[in-house]
Amino acid sequence: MVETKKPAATKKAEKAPAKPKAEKPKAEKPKADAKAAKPKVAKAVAKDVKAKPVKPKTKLELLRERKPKGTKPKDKTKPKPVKEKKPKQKEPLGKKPLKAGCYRIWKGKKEIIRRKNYIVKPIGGANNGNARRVLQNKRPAYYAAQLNKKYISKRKPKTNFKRLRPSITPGTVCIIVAGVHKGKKVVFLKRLVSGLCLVTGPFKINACPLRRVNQIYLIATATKLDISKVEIPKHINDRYFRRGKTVRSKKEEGDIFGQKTEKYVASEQRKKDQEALDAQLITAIKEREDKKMFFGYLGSYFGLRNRMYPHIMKF
Amino acid sequence: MVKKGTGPGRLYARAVFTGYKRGQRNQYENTALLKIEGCKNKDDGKFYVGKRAVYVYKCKNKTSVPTGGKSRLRVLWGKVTRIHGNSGCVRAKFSSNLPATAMGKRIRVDQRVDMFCECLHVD
Repeated sequence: MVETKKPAATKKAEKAPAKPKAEKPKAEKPKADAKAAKPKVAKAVAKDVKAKPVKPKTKLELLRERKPKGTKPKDKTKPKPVKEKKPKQKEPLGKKPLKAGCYRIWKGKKEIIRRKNYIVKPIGGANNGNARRVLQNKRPAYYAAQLNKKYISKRKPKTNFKRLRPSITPGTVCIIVAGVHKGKKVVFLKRLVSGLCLVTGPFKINACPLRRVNQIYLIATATKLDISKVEIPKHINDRYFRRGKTVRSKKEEGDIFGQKTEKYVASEQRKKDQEALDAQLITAIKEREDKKMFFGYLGSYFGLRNRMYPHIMKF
Repeated sequence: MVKKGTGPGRLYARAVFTGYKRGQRNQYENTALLKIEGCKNKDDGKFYVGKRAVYVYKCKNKTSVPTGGKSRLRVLWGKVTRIHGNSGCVRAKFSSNLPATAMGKRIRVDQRVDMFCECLHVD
């Protein structure tokens, strides 16, 4: 975007049709342009940005702003590493020192220094021709057959990610079907942004802590607890449950594959949050008429028995 | 409080591996036929489609277990793919074909749905 704009700016009449096109991206993204532009230009544009509130200019406005043919335009083109200096009229042309890899051209009386496509480098060896052209802007090492190829993950879960089973609502007692806490009845609190369900035992009742669980692992029962008064702290989200990365120091002695599984210890933060939430839930349970049974219900394990068939059962 | 002695009960549905998908004279071992307990018609069978199936068996040598440690139990995971017939039988595909010795033996049908399966039980 930046590249197309620069030549258009200098060649006024020739690229009149091209200019509006080139200007348009500038109009739409003035701030982005400031970042992408080269240092000197960036400053100029940044100044403008700071001075006035930037409104995207229409094509017409830009066209009007262009100075008429006769006058010298403010030169905005800058080759990449070399800063351009406007020559004084009296200074003899062609005497500015050039950096390696640059050449100068003239547009009327104006001198423009551009970077060469290549540099000639001396090389050794008797039969190597003494010099080699080394491209300054090297060709890319790889040309993709297809640009912007969209990779479709082949193993994508087909289920609608956003859909939570309608039977699982906040306060529903669910049975955990597998995992460490399998068979336990837990209270579903809310759905986290990642899609996982936040559940809790409560810990006091059945030793299931605040936990993230995929809805796949839950069987929702018809029993619902009223947790409208229960406030789930906002800091309990997916980041809260993220597992810490085990940082392995490079100077570790011994076998890398040595068994170093540290036993999980709940942090103080977790314990606090657990207690706070548990207290709320237990007060909610105590308000029920069948609280004694409810405590017992949450505290017991679920298991299928003879003649209990899941496809017939109403959970 | 949960009593320490009592653990969770059975959480899977019981099923039997009756045989491979077959015509009269040819059988296709990649698909197994399961008869799920209590499942007597197509509607019952529909409940189980998409659920995970497990074949659990014992071996002589101990192998490591995901939860840590070693055990003689081994497992073949699979999933119930579709209904088979009108009487509640079901087809299942396993990660590798079930061994013929498993015929007549217990297959566990988990309540979990296979994550990459289309049908989530509506509940």
